[in-house]
Amino acid sequence: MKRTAGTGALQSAGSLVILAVLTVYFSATRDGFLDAGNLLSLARQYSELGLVAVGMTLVIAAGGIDISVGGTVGLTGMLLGVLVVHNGWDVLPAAVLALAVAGCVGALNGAAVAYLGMQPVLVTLATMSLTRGAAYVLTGGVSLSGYPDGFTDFAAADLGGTGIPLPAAITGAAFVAGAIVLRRTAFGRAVLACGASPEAAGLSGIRVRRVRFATYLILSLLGGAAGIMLTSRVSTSFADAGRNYEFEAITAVVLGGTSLSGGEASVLGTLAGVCTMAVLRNGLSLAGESDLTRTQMLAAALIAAVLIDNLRRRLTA
Amino acid sequence: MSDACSRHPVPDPCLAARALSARGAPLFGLMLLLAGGFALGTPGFANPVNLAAISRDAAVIGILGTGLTLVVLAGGIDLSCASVLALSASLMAVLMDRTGSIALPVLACLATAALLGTGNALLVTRLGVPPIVATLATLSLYRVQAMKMVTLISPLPPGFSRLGAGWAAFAVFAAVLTAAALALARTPWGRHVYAAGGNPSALRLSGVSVGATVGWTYVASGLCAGVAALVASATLNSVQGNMFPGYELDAVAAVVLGGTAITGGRGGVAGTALGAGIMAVLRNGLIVAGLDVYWYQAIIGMAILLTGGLDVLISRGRLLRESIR
Repeated sequence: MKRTAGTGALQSAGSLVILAVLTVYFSATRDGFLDAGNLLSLARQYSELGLVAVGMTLVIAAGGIDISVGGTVGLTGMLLGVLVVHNGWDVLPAAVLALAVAGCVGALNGAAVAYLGMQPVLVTLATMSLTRGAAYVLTGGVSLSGYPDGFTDFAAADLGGTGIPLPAAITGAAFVAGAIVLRRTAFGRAVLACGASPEAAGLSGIRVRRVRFATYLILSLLGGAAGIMLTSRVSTSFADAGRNYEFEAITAVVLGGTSLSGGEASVLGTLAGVCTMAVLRNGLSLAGESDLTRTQMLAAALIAAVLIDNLRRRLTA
Repeated sequence: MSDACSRHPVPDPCLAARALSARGAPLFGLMLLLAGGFALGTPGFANPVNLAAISRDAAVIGILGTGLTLVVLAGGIDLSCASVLALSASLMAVLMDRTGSIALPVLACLATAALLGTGNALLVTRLGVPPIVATLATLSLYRVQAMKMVTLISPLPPGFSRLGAGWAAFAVFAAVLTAAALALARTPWGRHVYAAGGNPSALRLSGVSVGATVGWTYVASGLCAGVAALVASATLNSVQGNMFPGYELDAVAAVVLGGTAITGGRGGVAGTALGAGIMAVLRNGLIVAGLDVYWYQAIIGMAILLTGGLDVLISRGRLLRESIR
């Protein structure tokens, strides 16, 4: 709501510059980075995070935060495994039920935050523990595999033989839809208004509680879809699936120029943020850095993203 | 502004004490009920050795929780406390391993912990990073550093591990708790901490630096995590980079159960101590009862959610009664 054309351009420019610098650096120093195969497999790997990041943009735009979404990803995947692998369900009804459970987590988050007035951090910290614990309890921490081929082929498929991975196409569609919803619909404007000033939004007739509730619900449903896509890609359900997704999604959202205090958001900026995360992680791994170091770099990236955002805000103020 | 003032008055100590005693009795009852249930249901629970083990776990959760209470009272949150514990303990263990001495590594452990807390303080107060984001990042940064530094160092020097015997850890916890309670009730800084969380603009108008007040709570939380690191490594007689993972959630649960408002300004460390007792009884009881450890994680989430929700409902009821009156 506060945004003007000038800050908007600067907002997406920041993340694009970082993305361009990283891409040029890694393609100059690492063989095989700019390889089409490497980039497409990156796109396939990061489709799940992309889905989550679209939802996270909405939640943060409305002035909230959700750190439970990684747990929701894990719970959905594990539930799918128990139903399909253990109980012999067909994939479709199992996926629908798993998605419904993810929706329940979102409804719980949304109801506690929007209708009960609890702090988002506290609520989603609790549901993070709840969902991750439930994912472990389902099988006692044992991973499940043995999915029918039809299901595991899904994540490996290309879009009509174009070479574009199907999951990446789905996530791309989600980004476009998210951008249109945020920019061009009444709901999107309501989300931004709730984040900028809930009092003013309420006075101008926006149902603040309902809008906030919806953002949490959407994020958890997208998290559920990400859990199913991840399970299909690695053809295994494991309780630790989606660990750190909340972390990476928040980083991507902030890198993309969305304000952590709400009211100012860009879905396409988040796309640039997710690409930056993908390039950073892949580049570091090609450079032979250990998994531990990459996790640390990720944490540093999150702080750096917030600092850059603060600086940008001060410059444009 | 006047609305904010009436909703978050700077609490006078009497009011805080009354709020606490209202919370204290049911909490204490809950703890006894849980302990009684486990004692009746599982034979291994009520023997002295196991009770001492619970007291040590309660000490670690309680010391972390005491530091966290200060941060939460001032309106922040510190999710990095268990990682500070692991990193400062790792550094201490490496020094003990190299030098064989005790005093120097112990001091280094406390200094490191305070320094890591200072890192959080700078991120939050100087660089304007929201507390949840800053400490989520340092949770991961500090923990990974600890894991890179130490896989397992055991045993520690015999003189040091005596700190982990019997109820010694609990005595350390009692000392930390008393110090924090005195600092909150008897020093100007303690009153500023409440005001920083309850009504920061009033604090600023009265000429006190909100940033400094808040910043010191993160340093104090780091220092508490350092003390917890001493107790924890002495108890285990070993140090691992990934020791006590997820204990930041136990600490959060203890603080919330103890009645400290997550929005800041209301609560105290005594409630947190009872909350820590409940979490330690739960953790231990579930394990002794042979239930999957994974249940504990789900139960912790449930406990935070239920208590937080109940708090909101209670305070709404109070507001309603006041408006009727």
